[in-house]
Amino acid sequence: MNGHVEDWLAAYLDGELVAGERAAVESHLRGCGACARHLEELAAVDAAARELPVGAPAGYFDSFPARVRARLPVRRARRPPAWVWAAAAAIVLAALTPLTFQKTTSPVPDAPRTGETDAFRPAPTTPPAAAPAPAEGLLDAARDRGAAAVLERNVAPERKDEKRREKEKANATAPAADGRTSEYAAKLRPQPPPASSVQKHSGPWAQSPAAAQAQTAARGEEAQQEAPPEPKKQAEPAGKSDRDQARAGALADAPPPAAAPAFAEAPGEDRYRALLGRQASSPEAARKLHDDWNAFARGHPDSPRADEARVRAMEASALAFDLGRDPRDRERAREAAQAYLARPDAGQAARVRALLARLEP
Amino acid sequence: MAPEDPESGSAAPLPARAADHASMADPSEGDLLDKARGGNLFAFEEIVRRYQRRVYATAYRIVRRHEVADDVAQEAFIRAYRSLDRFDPGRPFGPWICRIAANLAVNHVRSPEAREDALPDGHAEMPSPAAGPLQGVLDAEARAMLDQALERLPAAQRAVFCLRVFEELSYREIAESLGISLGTVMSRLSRAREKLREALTPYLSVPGRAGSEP
Repeated sequence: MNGHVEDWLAAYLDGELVAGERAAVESHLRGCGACARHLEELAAVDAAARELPVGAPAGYFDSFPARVRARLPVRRARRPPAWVWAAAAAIVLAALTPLTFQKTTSPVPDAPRTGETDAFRPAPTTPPAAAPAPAEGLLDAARDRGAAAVLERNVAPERKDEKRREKEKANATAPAADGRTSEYAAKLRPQPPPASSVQKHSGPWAQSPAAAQAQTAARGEEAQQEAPPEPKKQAEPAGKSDRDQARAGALADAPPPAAAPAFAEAPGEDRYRALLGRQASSPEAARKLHDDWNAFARGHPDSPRADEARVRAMEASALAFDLGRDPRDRERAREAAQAYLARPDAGQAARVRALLARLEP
Repeated sequence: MAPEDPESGSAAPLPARAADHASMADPSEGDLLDKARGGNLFAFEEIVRRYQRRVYATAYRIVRRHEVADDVAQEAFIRAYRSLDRFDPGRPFGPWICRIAANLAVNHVRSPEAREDALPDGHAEMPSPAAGPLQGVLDAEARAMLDQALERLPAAQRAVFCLRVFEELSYREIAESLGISLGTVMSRLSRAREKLREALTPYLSVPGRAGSEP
């Protein structure tokens, strides 16, 4: 190493040089005061930067944990192991099989299902979700594998077990039956099922075993053929679709599955995130942001985001005042803050009080 | 209105890493994380309380705006909560959550919105920072100069500098976090340090002012 080693100093300082490089730099430093001084200055820069304080508004950390909690999605409780579902299915089948045999002289009009005979077999050795289900040309195997891979990459870790079971269902699992992309798959979770297929998406994975049994019993014979309900239904015969609609009506009064909202995000999540990402650099933009946050809060009064939206709205007014010094903006923010503090559910009072204090003339 | 120092804990003015280490030594943190995995939001809220200052500081140093740092810090905790099943309980939580925050912050500064969103003049929305433990290193003037120089750094260079100096990530970890090559990490870090060094040169060269007299 003949010349100066300035280009190596940062890596030397960070301990990122290999032994030979390090030895060469150290050798050079012993004989070069300029590089040695340069190294000291770089180290001083790091040390000084580490001591730079990072300020936050007063009271900010008082309300921060609660604000985060208000935005947390509800986590699904851990599911019972697969054998519990297998046992539950076995019990249901054992109870219902005699009834089914009694009705064999009265065939179901639109039930030429390939899996029908499976329903009469003794207790299954697999969990309900892995029970045989008709492929009926919905997906070819390659497409299924591709969709499964996409979902595997995008699925949240808490759904890995579910995804594994869905893989086992081979042709029956149809998250990609409608050609959803990986991005859509990521969004799949928060989307509520269509009203006409409520029971299709609320399979036993989303219910307590007791609820699953109760629903299965209510369905009678059909329950045997379809237990557990599969998420794919779109390509089934029209008669089957009619039957599903009728069943959906029959189940309308049933209580929602216990874990149904587990992965559901707050309503208006996309809009909420879009608002979060907006920055206002002019008073007009800040006022528009205020209006949009308020509209969100009014449009989703029961959302866990509504509280944050109300606070964000008044903060946007305060920002409009900061940017334009229009006292009307300050007054709007102050009124909103005072109204917020009068609410019985003011969860971010400390944050709003800090805002009010800042807005004092 | 006195600002809060994100680097100081609520109980004792420990440096951030020391505070995190202390909390990691608290066996109840494992319990909290376990409960949080089971869906206990209040347990996770306690985790947030313990790490909020460090996470906010990580975000703020990169994005340099309180509003954005607030969003980034919140989002970091939310993403961590969603990924708790993927978190190895045998590893410290602090570096993990800070890396999430750093990645989010870097994504923000690389976004078109961030580029269009000019920084406010003189940090109008931020109170002036409280006096920190600056003994022997910088006086107020040099500190302000360094702060401005940090702010003037291109976001990509600032991100690399922050991940290295504040988060103490290795070059390889920085490269993986930002999706860039090792060579890019080295060049950005070198440029960032040189710019900061130049900004501090008057102070570094005056005996007794910067604590690094050559």
